[in-house]
Amino acid sequence: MTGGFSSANSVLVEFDDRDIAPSPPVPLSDSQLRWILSHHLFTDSDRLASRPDLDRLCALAAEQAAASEHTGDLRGLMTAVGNHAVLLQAQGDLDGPLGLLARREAVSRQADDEWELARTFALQAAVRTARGDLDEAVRLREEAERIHRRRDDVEALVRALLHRGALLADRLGQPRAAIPLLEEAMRLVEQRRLVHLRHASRQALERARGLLAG
Amino acid sequence: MAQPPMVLGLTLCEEVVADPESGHVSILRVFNRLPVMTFPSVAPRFCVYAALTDAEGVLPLDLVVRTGDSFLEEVHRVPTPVRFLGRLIVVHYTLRLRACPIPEPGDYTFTLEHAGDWLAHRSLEVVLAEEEDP
Repeated sequence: MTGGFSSANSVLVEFDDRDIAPSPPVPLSDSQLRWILSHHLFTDSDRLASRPDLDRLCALAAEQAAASEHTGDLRGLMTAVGNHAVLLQAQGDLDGPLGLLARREAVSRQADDEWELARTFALQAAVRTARGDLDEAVRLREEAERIHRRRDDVEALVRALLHRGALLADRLGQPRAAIPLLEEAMRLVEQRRLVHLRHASRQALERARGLLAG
Repeated sequence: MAQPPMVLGLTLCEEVVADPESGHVSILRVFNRLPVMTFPSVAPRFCVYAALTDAEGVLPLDLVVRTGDSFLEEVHRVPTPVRFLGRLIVVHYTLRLRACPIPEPGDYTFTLEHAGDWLAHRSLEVVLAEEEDP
């Protein structure tokens, strides 16, 4: 504690992390992992692939999904099922996630939750891309785009356009088809001042133009 | 085991200014997006503020920063023992962060913990500074 004051009913306590020896990381407990698995949707299976505890995380995600289903917590169910799918994908399983994500899609529709439905399409597209089903991946990205346009969720739309543009340009060798999407993403970034997406949008567009120029 | 305090909000801001005479505390320039010049790096100085109450005695609180797509990766843990003088007393908890590692752009969570219990969370989006308007 580096300073502070006290009054009749309050006390100020101040710390400065430069004055405190940092503590080593503490492993997350099962209950903390359960909370994360039912509240925060993972999206990056590559990032998770090197974790040594994937089996444990998969088991907890499945438990959380069952618990959420039992209590009728559809949001928790969607999150846990989605995480289970991403964790399986991180383990190199490209079949299991499709079944789980089909279930997530059904729950998203049951809950009439378009935002979660669009996220399901994005997760499905990632699995399809990893399997090499690129046309299906493009279709799923397009489905997500439609939802984001309808909801006027511009930031999500830009991210979806960037994903579909990258698929077309980099994986399918169709930079000419990708460029209008990436130009739209860039235009939206500037119009809506989404400055945090400017770098990625500019980079994707320049890359596609470079591929087209040969 | 000691009862954990009630957290009346967890805030990230540029500065917390206290007036000892009046007892007023001002939380200045609250934000939820932080531009950083390069990665990996150390975050520019900022504050974590929380109002805490309904606890007694000295409680070991940790402020923990996590990141990664999954928030499973802990990048900074600061032990901050706080003395509570009575259950009705409000503790204005202020931690100035000057040594918080920021390995990459993305989402971070700031969690106030007591004995493994999560008391409050706050998220922060870290972006490349050159993406911000001048």
